[in-house]
Amino acid sequence: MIVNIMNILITTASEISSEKLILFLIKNKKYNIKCTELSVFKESYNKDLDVVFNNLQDSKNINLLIDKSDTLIHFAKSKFITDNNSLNIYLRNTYNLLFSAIQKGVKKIIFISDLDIFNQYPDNYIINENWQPKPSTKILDLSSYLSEFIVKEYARSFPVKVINLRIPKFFEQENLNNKDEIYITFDDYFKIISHAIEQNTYRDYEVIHAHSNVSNLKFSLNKMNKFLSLDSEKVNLHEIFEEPIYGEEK
Amino acid sequence: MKVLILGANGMLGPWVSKLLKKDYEIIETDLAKIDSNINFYKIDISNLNEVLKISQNVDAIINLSVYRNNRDLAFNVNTLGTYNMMRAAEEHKIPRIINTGPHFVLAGPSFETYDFNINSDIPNQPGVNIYALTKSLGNEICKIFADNNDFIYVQTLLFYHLYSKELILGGSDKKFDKLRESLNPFSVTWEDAAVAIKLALEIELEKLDSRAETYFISEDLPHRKFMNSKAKNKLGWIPSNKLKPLWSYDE
Repeated sequence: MIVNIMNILITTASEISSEKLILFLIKNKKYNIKCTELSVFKESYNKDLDVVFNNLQDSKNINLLIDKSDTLIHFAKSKFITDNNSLNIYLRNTYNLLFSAIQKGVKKIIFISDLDIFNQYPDNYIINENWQPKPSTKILDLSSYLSEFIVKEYARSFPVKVINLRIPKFFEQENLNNKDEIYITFDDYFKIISHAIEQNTYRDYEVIHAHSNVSNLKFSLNKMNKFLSLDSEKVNLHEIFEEPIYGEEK
Repeated sequence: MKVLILGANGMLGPWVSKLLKKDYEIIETDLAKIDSNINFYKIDISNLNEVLKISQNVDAIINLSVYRNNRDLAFNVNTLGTYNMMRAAEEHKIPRIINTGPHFVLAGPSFETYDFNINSDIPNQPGVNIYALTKSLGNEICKIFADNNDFIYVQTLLFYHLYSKELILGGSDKKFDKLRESLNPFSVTWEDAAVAIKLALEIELEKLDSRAETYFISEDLPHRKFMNSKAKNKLGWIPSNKLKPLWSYDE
């Protein structure tokens, strides 16, 4: 039996969450995983991973890095971002990376952003994917919001499928201060990323909010649950993605 | 009123300085001095400390800085530079910020290619042109800082093609007859552009509809592509409409 191998490039490889994702996806023999990280982290990466270091500044090098990739998984945040200058460089890197991804024919981009860009809304609001983000001026919130902005313009301009997945911080028992705090478990994270890799969405740009804390009422999980129940081979994608946002017609 | 001009020595800056210097104490900044400068400081807008220092005790900032083609410099000037300006506004409690850029900060190919009667209250859709996108990121940064600081009012004035009174296009060496059949539907004279900036400096901030307003600064042109009515109605801007020879044989 012929198995189609999918080539996936994952960025920010030295982040703990990326490391875990890479180690999870690498178990799937259908995937050929390539991971990359900025050269400044060359000394501190997980030696179990085969990381291609790249400053994401030179188009030729990025084109080589991304060549033959089917799917790109990129992140709105990095531990590299500590101040205004590193934010600027990271935004430029995101632009450069997507520029090459489009040139090299990447079919899908999974962008991992952050629900923190809604922190300025009161906690008693019920927020879904149709709400306008309201970020603070903190560097990391700006990084999430402005990186999304770049990704969205690529999605608008070119025939590429983009899933913008907004998540909260990862669940770690010791970091959980109260039961209402929002989090995502690694198991849920892996599940939704696997789904995003495998399934096609109806629209070219799809935003999905995901978390694991069902007692948190601020962020609606309706669309995430619809998305996870989606089998794009068997169902009408238009129905799945058009209906859940606005409710059923009466 | 003490007014800081960032990017004062580009093509538009001297027109703005000339108009403002009679009524305002202006501080002109850029990477290099030119002969017409009167109170000049060498400032790199991508350096936060330099921007913070020069912004102390000013009442308003006008940002005319721009870089168009090189990716690194476009991000440094158009995005990081605007962030640095807004940090200065936040830190020094500067209420009036006038930002500038090309019309495709808002109306990129997804609007411009298809539509007419495009107004300046549309969401940003710059596309991925490096100049448009980096300026649009700067515009988003302005809006976020205004949203988070209730004393900051940002007015963004958007321009595109700018002409001298001899109808020579800025940055172009083309003769009048070569320009005549290709007038961009987003065009204005340098003098009118500078007047719009002065009006944005003078409008009572409380009269603005929000703390982040955007205006299209383009003459009354017959294409009906872009609408300048907001600049007229809100700022009281009256274009002198001198570009008619470029779009009509009836002079």
